[in-house]
Amino acid sequence: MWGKSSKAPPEPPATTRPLEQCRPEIVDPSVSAAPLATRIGPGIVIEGEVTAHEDIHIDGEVRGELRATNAKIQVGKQGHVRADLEAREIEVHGRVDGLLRGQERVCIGASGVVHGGVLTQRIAIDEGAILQGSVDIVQPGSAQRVEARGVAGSLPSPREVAEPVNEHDARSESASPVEAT
Amino acid sequence: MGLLNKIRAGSEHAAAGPAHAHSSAAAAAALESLRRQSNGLKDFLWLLSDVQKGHLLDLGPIAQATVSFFTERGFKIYAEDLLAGWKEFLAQEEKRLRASGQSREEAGFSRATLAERFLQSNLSYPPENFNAILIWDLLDYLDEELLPGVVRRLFSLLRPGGVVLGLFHSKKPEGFHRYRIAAADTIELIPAMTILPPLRQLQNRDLMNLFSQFRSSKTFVGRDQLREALFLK
Repeated sequence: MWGKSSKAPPEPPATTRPLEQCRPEIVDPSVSAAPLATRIGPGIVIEGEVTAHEDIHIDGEVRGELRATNAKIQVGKQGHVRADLEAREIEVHGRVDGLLRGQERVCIGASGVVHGGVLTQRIAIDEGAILQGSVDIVQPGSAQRVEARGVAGSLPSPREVAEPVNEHDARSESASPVEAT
Repeated sequence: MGLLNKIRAGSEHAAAGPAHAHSSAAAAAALESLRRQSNGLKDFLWLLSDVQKGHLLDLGPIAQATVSFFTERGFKIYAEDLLAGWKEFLAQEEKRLRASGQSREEAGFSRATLAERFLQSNLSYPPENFNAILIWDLLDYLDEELLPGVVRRLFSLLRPGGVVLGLFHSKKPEGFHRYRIAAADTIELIPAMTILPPLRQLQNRDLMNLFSQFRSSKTFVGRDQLREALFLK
């Protein structure tokens, strides 16, 4: 209880690690230095399991599950994803209802709305972003823990997000850049 | 004059120049965030200092600084902006009522019924899931009918030995703020758009009654009339 007072309260750290920051959304992929290879435009709805082997930008709607294991997924302001996402890096400027597994980094921009959980090594949350769910940071040495496991497409409950992640690698062997089933 | 105003007035006075410069400085100061030393936060962290891989629930708007602060200390963070959720829930219910064409009585639209329904679909986590809960100044803004249910839920969500940190205004707040942790002994207040108006100022006795299930409590009152309170399960 308060009787713990024999122990001195912790001193504030002299320095703190700089906070992660999101990069602004690339609105027009054609003017980017590294153009995004695949774009799901507004008006496009994809339902099912999507596997990408290169960066993917979503301005449409995706339902199901989306994986870009060695690439980046960017959900644009107009994008709405009702799916679990897994990628090297995930940036959300639109809306995601699902679990985000970013092997290296997850960023939720100022206009981003995430209802679900985040599992990653590093996270950036801009002012104004909305996150309802959990944030679980994994250490770099255990990066494989962020990689895929079989996930149902539904929004994870806090209990599900809190459970340990299986360590099997579920990367797709597909040769085509993007598949929708 | 409140302390906040005094601080602002002092800094403006020091930088006094032409009248228009003074007024723009005042406008800028009004938007600036304010850092305050927090003994409550210090004790909150001290109570959590032995916790390994703890779970923390933050019931305010998500803030990068707070997430980083706790994840760097090994915590898993859960975020749920309960006040925004309550406002959204009320708006949806109002819409539903209008669409149904029913009267408030027919639709069971009393605040007590709404509070009960809100808690059926919010703050839904496994019992004893958390080592710590940050409620900030949430309880100054929630409806009277919702308060007891929320506090009971907080109690059930905490593990034995778990702790709640809350902030309570001793007088009507000058504006709406979001909060984030700036350092182990510092909370930052960020002016924000009002989500809902403040409904009350809870005094010590009110807090004791509201949190009577809890094993122990401790409060600190700052010069800015913001009371910090810790409640231990």
